[in-house]
Amino acid sequence: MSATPVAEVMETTLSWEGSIAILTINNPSRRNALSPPVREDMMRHLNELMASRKCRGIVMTGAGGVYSSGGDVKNMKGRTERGMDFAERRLNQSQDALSHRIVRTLMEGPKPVVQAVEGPALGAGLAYALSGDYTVVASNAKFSGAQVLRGLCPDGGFYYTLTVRCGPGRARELLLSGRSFTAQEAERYGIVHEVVEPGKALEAGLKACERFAAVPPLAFALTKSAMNHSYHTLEACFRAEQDYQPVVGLSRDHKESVAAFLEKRKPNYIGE
Amino acid sequence: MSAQPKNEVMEMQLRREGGIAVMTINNPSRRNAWSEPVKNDTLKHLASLLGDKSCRAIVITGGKDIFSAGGDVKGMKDRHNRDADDYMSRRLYRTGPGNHIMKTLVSCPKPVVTAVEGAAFGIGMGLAVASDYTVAASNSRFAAAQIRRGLCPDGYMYYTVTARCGPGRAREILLSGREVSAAEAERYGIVHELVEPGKALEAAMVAAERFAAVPPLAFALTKAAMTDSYHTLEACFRAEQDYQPIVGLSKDHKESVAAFLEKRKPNYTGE
Repeated sequence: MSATPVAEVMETTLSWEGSIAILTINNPSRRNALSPPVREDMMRHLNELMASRKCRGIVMTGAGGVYSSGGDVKNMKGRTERGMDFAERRLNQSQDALSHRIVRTLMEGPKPVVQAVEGPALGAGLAYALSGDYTVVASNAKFSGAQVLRGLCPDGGFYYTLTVRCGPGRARELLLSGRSFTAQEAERYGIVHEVVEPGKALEAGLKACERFAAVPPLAFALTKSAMNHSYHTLEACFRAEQDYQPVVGLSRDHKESVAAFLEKRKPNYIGE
Repeated sequence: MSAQPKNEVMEMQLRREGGIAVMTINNPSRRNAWSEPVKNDTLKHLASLLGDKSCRAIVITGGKDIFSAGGDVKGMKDRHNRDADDYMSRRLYRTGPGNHIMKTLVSCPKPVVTAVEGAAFGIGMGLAVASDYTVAASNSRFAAAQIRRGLCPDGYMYYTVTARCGPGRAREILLSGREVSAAEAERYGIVHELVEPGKALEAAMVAAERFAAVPPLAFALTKAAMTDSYHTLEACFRAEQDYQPIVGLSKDHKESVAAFLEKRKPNYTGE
């Protein structure tokens, strides 16, 4: 990993639990608002983790009982006051803008990503909490697609990530009203996968991540890739099967998996 | 609002409650069938409401016991008896007011809430789901009945029903034409909220007020994106790139941020 001056306060911190990386949004004095330094740290860590052979999965969470309050309202005011114009605002939302790169990495990167949410996840904070393969939330978590309430449109991949979870009927209502909703509602709508007691989200998130980490890595990566693009039509689905199945069919891990199954032993995967 | 001759009985009635426009299907002798007069009235009302800044949301409802029985079966028969009933004339009909109305409701810039009591069958069900939010009384009933008349679904139901409940359930409902209870409809996500009989309109007004409180420009662009920008992550990012700079420069965004920081109620102008 790149050298970081020891005294530098990181706003997204990295720790390890075996081969599972834990990324913590760590700026509780601002309710883990997604300020530029938070996003920069997050992106840097994600790039390293996605390329690391040691890392078998990533759990993201927030420090201090808050996942993230989302976009920084003071920062919004600052942008207006310094006269941020259309071109700059558009650049800020461009295809390689930081926020889009983060969401794309979480959704399309080869490693399992589990989100563990305690407390509020609002606006872009909620969009991040849905970016990944599994979301565990504490029963006291609170959600809102709050951007419209600030006169903005949803961002952070929200139209897609929320809609794939709960379908466009409910997503339309939630993104257009910005109303807050509970962990229980979120579970019922399919927006989150699991609700646990307050204080237990990280523990449950690690458990879910171990489950994904036990899957052969290459099969995981290609299946995750297909789940982003290949389910809208029967033909797209067949195309993905045709493209990916021969690749994993020739992989060492497939052979190892079949052998271990027949020999009734634990498999040992190497990601090849 | 457009002037309405006093004596003309509208089959789609229009009234206002503050910023909310309430349209009521009023054709009880034909079980609120989606008749030509209903469609023509609806189109007229929509044209005036969409250009009216004071209209902040549209609520559509039917009668106490019937939302709408759907396509006019008598009209279907009349069409068979007409001389020029051929493929091309029927195809042309598909670009007429009926489809224009559904498309407008699903994609127009104003919030649309539907309030259902009793039966919503065929295109009546199509109307019930062509909105941003659907409230249903617990005694309401739904059926994509077109297929039972030997027709295919219309009124954008392939899109709207599927968007609500997913293709697995939509396939079953559109292919069988079977009746779906209000409780089932809620469980499948076809309606957003269940209420006691007689309370659908009241609940719809509450929902409409919630949408009406959102800055109108952000609402309009988010609704546009929700109509077609959620199928892939890249389409989603494209919508963010296109729309976010526009609303970021809007007066209402500035007002919203100021009101939030000053802990006061915002005052939006739609600019």
